[in-house]
Amino acid sequence: MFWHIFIQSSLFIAAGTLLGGLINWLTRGRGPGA
Amino acid sequence: MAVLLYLLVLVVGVGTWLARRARGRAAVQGEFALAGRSLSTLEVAATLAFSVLGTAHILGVFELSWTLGAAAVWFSLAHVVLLVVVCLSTGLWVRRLGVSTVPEILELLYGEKMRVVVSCVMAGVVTGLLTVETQGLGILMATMTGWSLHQGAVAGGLIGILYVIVAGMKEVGYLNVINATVKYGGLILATLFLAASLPGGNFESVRSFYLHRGEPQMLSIYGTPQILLSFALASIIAVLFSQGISQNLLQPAMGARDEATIRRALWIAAPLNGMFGVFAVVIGLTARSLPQFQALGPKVAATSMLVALLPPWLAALLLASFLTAVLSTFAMACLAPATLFSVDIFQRLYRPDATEAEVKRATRVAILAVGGSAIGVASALPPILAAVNWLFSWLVPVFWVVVFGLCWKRSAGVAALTLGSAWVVNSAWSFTSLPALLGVSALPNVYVTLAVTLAVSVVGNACSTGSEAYFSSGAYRTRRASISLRLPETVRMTAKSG
Repeated sequence: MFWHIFIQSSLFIAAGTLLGGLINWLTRGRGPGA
Repeated sequence: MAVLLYLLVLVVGVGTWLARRARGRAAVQGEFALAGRSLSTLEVAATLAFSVLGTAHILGVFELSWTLGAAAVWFSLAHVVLLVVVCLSTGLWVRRLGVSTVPEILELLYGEKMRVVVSCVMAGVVTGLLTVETQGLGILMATMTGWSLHQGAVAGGLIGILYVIVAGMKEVGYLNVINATVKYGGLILATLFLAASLPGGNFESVRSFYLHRGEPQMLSIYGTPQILLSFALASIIAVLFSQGISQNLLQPAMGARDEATIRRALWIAAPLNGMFGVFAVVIGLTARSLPQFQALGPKVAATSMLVALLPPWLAALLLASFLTAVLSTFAMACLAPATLFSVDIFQRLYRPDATEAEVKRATRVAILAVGGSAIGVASALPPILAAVNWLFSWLVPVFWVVVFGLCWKRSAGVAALTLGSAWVVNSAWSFTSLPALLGVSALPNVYVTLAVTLAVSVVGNACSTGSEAYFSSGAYRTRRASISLRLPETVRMTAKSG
């Protein structure tokens, strides 16, 4: 049970963070006011 | 008592060391409230993650997992979304603009009056949050020591004030980095020991309990489609649009060395905050599956189970882990309204030429006043949690007024109308029978406030002429140039050491 919840949550956190990191990287030096 | 001693020695030791270290250097602007804009990636990440990880993440998720099952983890995952958005937008913008408070942006966009109004509202909202955290501190201290809730709140509140008052933001940053280890060490060890104390030495019996009851959805974070819509989505919207512009979360971003530090902090802050919920949910689900603790009800079952099943040293370590989580939120919730007072009211309205030492003194006095009043209010145990829904919705229109003003169009009239109408509807939703009259009593304040905010601000801005977006304006270019001319503290320090 623990690992099931752990993996499900980790996948969401990893996906969210990676997506954020990717957008971060793509928009470095750009974006509003940059 | 060992836990209390550890906290006291750590908090006073780190604070005194930092204060002594700062004494040798000339004070720079924002030294106390913004750590002289010198926070490292690790300090920004830990402080961002732990400023919004407090009582609700622990006691709240224990209770929620009772009814929602593993889907209660969405309260934590909503904060992951929040941190991603903050590290990509509002957090970067506050650093880029070189402001010390969020309402300062309102002045840049719409004038001084808007700044003062929003500053007062935001200070009120964050102080409300502080009262919730003080209650949490009281409950945890009472569990640890056997003291009364009142004594627990006083002792916890005093340590919370010490967490920030000696050296300000730098102290909070250092303590948060050190305590991250205590938090996760305690949680991981407690989960291992908890599993070992269950039949079979693992969580299989907990899983069987829910399967036999015909509740397999309790074991998945995706629960049911209805839970996803009514709880997961509502949590994301509420957390994102209220905390995404809140002073207590954005202050660490303002104190970051540079924008790249905030971008890097995302990689640490998001998992640091998000994973906490996994452990809280597992503990909550386990407590409900054991008959002796199930009988105690959702409010106290989990904490009672931990005290009963874990060896005393580990129960103490885990409580220390919970305490540090609440203390870090308490500290930022104290520092944020105090900074709003010292910068937006004291310095802006009464002493524009105040020195850093005078601003620091005003901030310290405000920390004592805010923290002291929170201890007083929390000891009386008002039903503050019931007010959180109403309280946080106040910041939803502030979020959009800032975003639109920076990136789309600026009209002081539309901004005032948006804030006014959203605040009136939010209060009417909580204090009148309007929701019942409309037949939507279950609709949370945040949805209604968001709908009114978007309707008024989008239509209003589309119809008004207004000024261009602040980021496209000449005023912004001038400000940017003047900020880059000011030599940042980190550069100065590097030059000195080089």
